[in-house]
Amino acid sequence: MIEVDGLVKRFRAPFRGEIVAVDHLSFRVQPGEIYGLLGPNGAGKSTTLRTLATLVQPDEGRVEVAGFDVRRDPLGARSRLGWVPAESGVPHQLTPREVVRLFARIQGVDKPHVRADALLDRLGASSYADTPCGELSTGMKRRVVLARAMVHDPQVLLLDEPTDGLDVKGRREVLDLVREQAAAGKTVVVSSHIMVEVERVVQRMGVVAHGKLRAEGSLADVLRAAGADNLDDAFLQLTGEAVENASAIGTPS
Amino acid sequence: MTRTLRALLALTVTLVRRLLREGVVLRSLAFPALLCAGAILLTVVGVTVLRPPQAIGVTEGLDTPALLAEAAEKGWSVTVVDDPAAAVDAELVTAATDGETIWRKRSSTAALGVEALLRQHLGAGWWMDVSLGQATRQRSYRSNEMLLRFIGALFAMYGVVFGAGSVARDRDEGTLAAEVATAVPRWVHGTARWLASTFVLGAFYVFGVALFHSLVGMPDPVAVGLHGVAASAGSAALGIAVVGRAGMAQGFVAPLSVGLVLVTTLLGWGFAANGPEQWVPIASVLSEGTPGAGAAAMSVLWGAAGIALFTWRSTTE
Repeated sequence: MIEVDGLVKRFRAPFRGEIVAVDHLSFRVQPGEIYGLLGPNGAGKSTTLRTLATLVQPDEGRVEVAGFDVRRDPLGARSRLGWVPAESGVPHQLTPREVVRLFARIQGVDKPHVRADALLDRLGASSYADTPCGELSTGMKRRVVLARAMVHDPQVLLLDEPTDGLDVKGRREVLDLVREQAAAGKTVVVSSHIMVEVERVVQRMGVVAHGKLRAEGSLADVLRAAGADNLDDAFLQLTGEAVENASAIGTPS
Repeated sequence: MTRTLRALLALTVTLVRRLLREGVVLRSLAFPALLCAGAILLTVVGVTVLRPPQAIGVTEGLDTPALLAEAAEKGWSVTVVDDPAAAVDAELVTAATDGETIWRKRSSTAALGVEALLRQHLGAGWWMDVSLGQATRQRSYRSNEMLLRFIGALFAMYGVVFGAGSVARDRDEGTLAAEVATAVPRWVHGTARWLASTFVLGAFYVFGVALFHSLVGMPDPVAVGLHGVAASAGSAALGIAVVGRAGMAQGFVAPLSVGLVLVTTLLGWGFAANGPEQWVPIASVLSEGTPGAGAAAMSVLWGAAGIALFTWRSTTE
C-alpha cells in the first residue's frame, strides 16, 4: 500500500533558481491496484516515483510505502519495493543472469541463484540469460530490468515509463506482467504519457501537470472531470497542453 | 550487518568483474608497465648485442702477467697493438695505451674501468675509484624506480576517471538508482566503487612493480608499490567525491576536470616538496626514497571521506 500526503519536492536549478517539481501531491494506492501517474514531460511524475523509491527526499509531506515512512525508515521501504527506472540500462559487461543474481544477493534473497534463474525463465529471458547485456535489444534489457526489480518479490512495484522504447510485442508483454503482479496482490504505480497503455492497464489514475494533481480516479472519473470523451482530449485539457499548443501555433488573423 | 557486508562484497566483486571485462580498461592498465618493461628489456638486449669488444690494447712489452691476470678476472682480453690510437679509433679495443698515454673513445663505465686498470699497472699517481660502478648501478636502480613512480602518476589520473566514471555511467544507465533503491545502506554503493577501483588499479600497479623489479631491480619495491596503491586509492576516492550528482551525458566534464586538476596539483607539489608529501596520497607517488606506509594509511582516510561525501550528496538529493 502507498500513501502520499501533501508531497512537495523542490530543486535548485542553475540560472532558474528554485523549481517546485511536485506541489502538494496526495494519492493512495491499495494492494492489488494499478495506479497510473499521467502527465507531460516535466510534470513531476518521475520525481514522485523517485521519492516513493527513496531516491530523493521529500521537502514536505508524508510518503509511506508498505507502511514505512520513506524519510524515517528508507531501508524498510526499500526492502518492500521494486524500482524500474525509465532508463533501460543494464551493465553491458554483465549477463542478465549475473545482473539478476547480484540483485538477489544484495536484497538478501534465499538461494539467489535459484530465484534469479526461475524469474528469468518466467519472464522468457532464459534464452539470452548468458549473453552480455551489451548485445541485447531494448526489449530484452527491459525484461532484465523488470527481473532485477522483482527478484526479491516486493510488495510494491514502481515503474517509470516501463514501455519506453519497446515495440508492440514488448509493450504487451510488459503490460501483461504488470497486470499479473497486481493480480498477485502487489501495489503497482506506473508512470506514463502513452494514453492507450494507461487506458488498458490502470484501474485508477492521477493526471499531473506542473507538479499538481489535476484529476484523479477511474477513467470515467477523469473523463468527467475534463468534460472530454477520450483520454487524449482529457489529458490535453487537464494538463493545459491543448492551450499551450494552440498558443505555440499562433492565433489566426 | 552481515547482510550489508555480503551486499558490499557482492557489489565489489561484480564491479571488479565489470572493470576487468572492459578491453579499454585492461589495455590502459597493462600497457604502461608492459611497454616500459619491454622497452627496458629491448634496450638491455640491444646494448648487450651492440656492446663493443671488451678488449684492452697495449703495445708490446706492456702485456705483463699481472695485467693479463687482472684483466681476465674482470672479463677483458688483452691485445697487443702497434698503434693504440688507431685500434681505439677502429673500435677494436675499448681502451689502449703505449705506456705514456691512454686512449679511449667512449665514456662508458667499462671504458672508465679499463682506464683505471691501465693506470694502476702503469704506476700512475691516481685512477678512477672502482666503487664508481656501484654508484652508477644505484643511480640506474633509482631511475627504474622513478619510471614506476611516473606510471603511478598516470594511475592516479586513471583513479579519478575510474572513480567518477563508475558513478556517472551507472547513474545514466539507471543501474545506480536501481542499486540505491535496494535495502542496503547508501554508503555501500560508494564503498563498493572505491574498493573495486582501488583493487583493479592497485593490482595492476603492483604487477608493474613486480615486473620491473624482477627485470631490472629497484632499491625499495615495497615503498614504490605502497605509494602507487595509495595514489590509486586516493584518486579513486577523489573521483567518487567530486562526481557529485553528475551523469556521463550531462555535466561529467566539470567534475572530471576538477578531479584531474586536483591530481596534477598534488603531483606537482609532490615533485617539488621534500618531506611532508610522503604522507599525502597522490603527491607521495613522486616522492623519492620515502616509505609508503604513511600515504597508504592516509589513502584509507581519503577513501572514507570520499565515500561519506558521495553518500551525503546522494541522500540529500
